[in-house]
Amino acid sequence: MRTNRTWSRRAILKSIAASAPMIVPARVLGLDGATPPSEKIVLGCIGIGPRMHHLLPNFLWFEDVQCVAVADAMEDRLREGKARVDQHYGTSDCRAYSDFRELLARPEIDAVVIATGERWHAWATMWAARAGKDVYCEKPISLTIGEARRMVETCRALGTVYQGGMQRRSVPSYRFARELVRRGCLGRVRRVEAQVWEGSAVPHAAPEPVPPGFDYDMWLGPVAWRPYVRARVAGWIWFWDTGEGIHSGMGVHYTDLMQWTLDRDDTLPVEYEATDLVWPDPKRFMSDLPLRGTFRCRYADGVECVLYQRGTFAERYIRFVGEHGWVQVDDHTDQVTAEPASLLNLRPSRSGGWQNAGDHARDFLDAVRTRQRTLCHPEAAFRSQFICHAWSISARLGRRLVWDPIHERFDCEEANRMMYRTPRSPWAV
Amino acid sequence: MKSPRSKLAPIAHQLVHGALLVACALTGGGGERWTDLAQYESGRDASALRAVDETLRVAIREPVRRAELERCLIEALGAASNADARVFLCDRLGVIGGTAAVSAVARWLRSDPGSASLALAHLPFDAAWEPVRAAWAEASAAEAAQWVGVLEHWRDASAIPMLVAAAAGPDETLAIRACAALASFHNASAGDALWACAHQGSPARRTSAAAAFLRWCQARPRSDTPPEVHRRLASLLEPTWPAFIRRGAWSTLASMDPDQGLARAMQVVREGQDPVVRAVALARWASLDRPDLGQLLCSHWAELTVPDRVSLIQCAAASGTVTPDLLRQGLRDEHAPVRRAALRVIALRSESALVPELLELRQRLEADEAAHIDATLLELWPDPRTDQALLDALDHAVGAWRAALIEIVSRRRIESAIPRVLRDVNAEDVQVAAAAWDGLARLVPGHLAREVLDRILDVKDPQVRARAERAAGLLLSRLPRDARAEWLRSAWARASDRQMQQILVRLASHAPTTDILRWMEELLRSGEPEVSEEAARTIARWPTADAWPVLWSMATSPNPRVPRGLVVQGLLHVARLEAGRTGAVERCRALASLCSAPEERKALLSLLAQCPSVETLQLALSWLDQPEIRAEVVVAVERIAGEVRSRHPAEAEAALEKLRTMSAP
Repeated sequence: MRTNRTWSRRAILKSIAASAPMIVPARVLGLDGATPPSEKIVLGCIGIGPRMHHLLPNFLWFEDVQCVAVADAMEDRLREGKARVDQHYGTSDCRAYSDFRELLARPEIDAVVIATGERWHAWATMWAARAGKDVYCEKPISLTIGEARRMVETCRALGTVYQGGMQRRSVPSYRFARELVRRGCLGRVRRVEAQVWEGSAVPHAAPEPVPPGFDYDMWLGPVAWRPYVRARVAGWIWFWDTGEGIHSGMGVHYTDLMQWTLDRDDTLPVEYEATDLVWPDPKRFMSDLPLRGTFRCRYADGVECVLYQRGTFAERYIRFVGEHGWVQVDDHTDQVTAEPASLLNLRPSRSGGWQNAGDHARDFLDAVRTRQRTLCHPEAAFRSQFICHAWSISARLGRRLVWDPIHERFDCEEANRMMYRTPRSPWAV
Repeated sequence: MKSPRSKLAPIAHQLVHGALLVACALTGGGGERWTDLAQYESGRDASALRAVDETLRVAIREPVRRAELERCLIEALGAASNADARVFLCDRLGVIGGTAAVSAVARWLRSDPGSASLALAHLPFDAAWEPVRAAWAEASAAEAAQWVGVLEHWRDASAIPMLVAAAAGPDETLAIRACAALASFHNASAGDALWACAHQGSPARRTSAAAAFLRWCQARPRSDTPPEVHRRLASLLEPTWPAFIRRGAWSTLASMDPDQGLARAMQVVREGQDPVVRAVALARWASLDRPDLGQLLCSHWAELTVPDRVSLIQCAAASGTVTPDLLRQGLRDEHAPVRRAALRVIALRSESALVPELLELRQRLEADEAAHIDATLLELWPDPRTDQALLDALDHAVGAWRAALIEIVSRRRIESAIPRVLRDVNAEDVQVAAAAWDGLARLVPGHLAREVLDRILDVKDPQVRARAERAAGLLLSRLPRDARAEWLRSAWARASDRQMQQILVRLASHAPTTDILRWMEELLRSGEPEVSEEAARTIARWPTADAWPVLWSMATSPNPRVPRGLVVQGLLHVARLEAGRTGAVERCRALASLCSAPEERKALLSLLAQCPSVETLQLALSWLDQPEIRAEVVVAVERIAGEVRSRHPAEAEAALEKLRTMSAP
């Protein structure tokens, strides 16, 4: 039954604490041959929205993981997240926090999974690293180049194990495409082509009171404060203040695959350009990111990449074009096609699509134990994300950008300024 | 009561309007859309904002337009009446603003520090420093914390004393923020200040300062690190510091060593120090990019614990430094977890050079671990050397190992294995014979299928026959249709027993020609009872509509050998195959006259729902008064009505109305 009760953070924490469990299952104590608690990786989840609901099962599935806490600025999501974790374990142990810093203050938590939206990703990673936690962070991993660079420095200095959430590195179909490229089956790769879907526009909507149970200030976090508008919060990905649109939100999977497949995790393209941009009609829409566009970049050795933002969700793909043929992975169906088609006979008989982040999560969990480098380590994740950020800047400035990798500067002063946005206090660390 | 700002707004609006009209004239835009810029808030037309962005794209190439746009933005910011407008204007001034913008932005330093900081961080330091410095003295801790981000971005040494004072000051949030900012300055004084802060104040502040100190150390050129910094880092290894500080300190020290931390790592592993540091040391050791790394790790193998060995293999693989020597060492290890780790890496890296070792190890292990090796052999990338090694092993393998190898070579699609596998189709060992049939089903291409199919006739063991039948089905489908029929006829002539005849009849559905269907009819009438019943089953699951007349005649002229249920099932199956095609409604009507039992009608209703038309809608409705199937009728009617509504709205609505009437109390 719906009541008009206002949920304060304290109230929800109190109600959750009151329902603490009386019985601890034997499984939790490691009495039935399961991993004993002292050897489990204790996990916390920051940002328990739709993406985390896809991601979380990939962690809960592992017997050596115990998720003990969730955090979100929205109380309804917090309740759902806690319920989901509790349901998995058959307990009511999972603690819920509206302020993730309280979650980070728990010393027994080894690692956190972050899926908040990119306005928070880099900063929440830095908060977590500074609290001694290892981090699995969803993509896009940052909102600006500056904060991403700072995140990399922080993880390196503190020895934080970090996995960027570009899970296609762990998906068999993409691994196969990579093997074809790396073993020279396509000859020298000259071009990478990918497609994400057409963007959306958010109609104008006026400010309104912040609804009860929503810590709007926390939700905004490091980005500039604006009056609350529900449509802006729901459609945050389509606003420059809080997101970069789908060429980054999804495109980063493809820039990441490109970097990884071509073995370029330690380098970057030198030219970036966004063209054919179609912007929302400002009379009808308040969102300010392109609906369609073509995003290109070029490495110093001439290899080109083009990302199309067009078409539908089901039409996304990536294709590597070499001198002797090509290989394409259709993301929606996980189907691999190639020219010559005989290349497909080389494929090992494993399956699994992009939804399955299990192997990627496992890679992270192994690294938490061994301190090994993760598959999508901070530097690799940073560079894949950098490409999308550079495209965004090119789109906003309407010009081609040349990157100087030695001095880490663009050939355009305005673009250099757009690499950094001063974070809002006290959310920066 | 109106605020002073709102009283001034109309005046400011006019001022801005004037200034923006200049910009408008320059850019060729419409004047009206600019006037809303200063008072923009969510919900309003955003044309003025987008016009600024369009102008900005041009202005970055044209100094005159740039100056004019900057002036317009400054004027608008002066009159900006709400946060939405200020955020926008400050953000854009941050992109193109110069000295002229400083005072306009600085005006908001105290009342809207968040927006002001967006611009200030990018405005020329020489002009922007003084307003910030002056305001700092008066600022609250919250305001100062916001400006720290600006000072950090400037990275000018003038700001260090302010940050040092803040780091040691009473406000915890500001102090921690100041520590983090100091780490971005490469000056020695910043490092000294951080080190001092790491030894005073609350534990949180000390830890923050230590973390910032580590970041400061990492940013310094390695050759320029004084011994004092080494000593400080070494003291951070004390157990009083949190684990992540100890980890960070050890890694930073290792990165400063001339040998990249090799000697340091080996010492930690030998002396079994702090487990936190030990894990980092092992990871570092395994990730060093040295040509002798494999030999080095193997020579210390005996000194390592089992978890250490597993970690080393995993870490070396993750860093790309793993060598065949190290993996070989892992495979030879007496502990299963180590072997398992090596296997996983061999599969991921597709290390074909280790196939002989894998095959040798496979024969010595228990089934559970052997399965891991089989999976690894399947994962390896196609390679002629791997294929040959597997074929050589197959030549000598017996029993379960032979069966496993047949599965591996067939899953790896090694066609040159076909003659070897073919020899096993009648092997005495049932496991081997069954694996051979499964393998041939995977391997044999169409042009060799007939030769293999003939071998089914020699199979005697019932268990092997079942596998051979499955394989024959797959092989038949690789032949042209006529060839399938021809083989079936010739095989029938050679079939030695009743069971083999039944198998051939079942296989007939893989050769759905008119000729074979007629043959099934003949068998139905004149065959032995078992064969006749098998023929009826084959017709009932015939994959084409050709079976309809045969089944219909079986339904109308009942044969005591054929159960009625089977015939109705067959008719429903064929009708379902043809659901979207011409004649579907007629078939449904015919079936309606035939189906009398409730279960049959339920099945038919599900078919009707797949054939949406006015006729099928009426057919479904006609059974609405039958209580045993009413629920299914309702579902079918709703689905059909939903489908036909656009073309036949009246009929669909009438049907739904009838449902509503019937279900009304």
